[in-house]
Amino acid sequence: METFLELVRNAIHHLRDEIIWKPGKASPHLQKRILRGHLPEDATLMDYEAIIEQISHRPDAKVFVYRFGEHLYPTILATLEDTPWIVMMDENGILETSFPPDDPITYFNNSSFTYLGTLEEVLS
Amino acid sequence: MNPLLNTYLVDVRHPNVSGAEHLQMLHNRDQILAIESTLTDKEHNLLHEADRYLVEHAITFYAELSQFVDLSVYRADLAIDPTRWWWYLDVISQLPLESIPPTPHFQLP
Repeated sequence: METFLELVRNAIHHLRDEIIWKPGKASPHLQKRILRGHLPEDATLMDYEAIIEQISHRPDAKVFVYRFGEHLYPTILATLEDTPWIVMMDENGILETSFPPDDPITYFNNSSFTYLGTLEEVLS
Repeated sequence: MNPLLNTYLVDVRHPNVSGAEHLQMLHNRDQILAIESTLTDKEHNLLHEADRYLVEHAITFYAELSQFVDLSVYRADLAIDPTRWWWYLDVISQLPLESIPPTPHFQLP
């Protein structure tokens, strides 16, 4: 049986292997990033996924897990160009969302989040 | 425009994104409540339009939120009363749209 940490590692590896969005979700997330000013007006999905790629490969990124019932959402937090971004996936590594939280401290100040360590520590 | 309101106006028009983002939107709406008296008339009108949109699309917002949070438990844990109606999307999504009054200040029945 897969341990909790193994599940998180596998999810992150799956995401790093290939960014897969839930059906129909890539476009609305990209549109919202642009309208929120998180990405430039001419940003493409490729640009958005390049950020996700960077975050999911940063050894000093922080790894959390959001737990809701039996559902686990491994979440990576890293700062790119002075902006904290998160990448959240499901337990299969399918992308849930990626965005810069308005206030990361408040966002993660939620008992549903558990900090696991840096990306380097979690994947080692 | 007030930056919190500006953020809300964008967030509310994207019901199909992750519930993880909607949770942030609801907290943001709480912050808007705190500064609502400082909004201009135009900003009030925009807020009411956005709130109406949220109500009208409660089903979609709730469908996404329900994958991340049990709103009834969350409300109980944080003692969120019905004046902060945006935390009651689980309830609102069950109401017939025609029963929702077209008033600026939505109140739960």
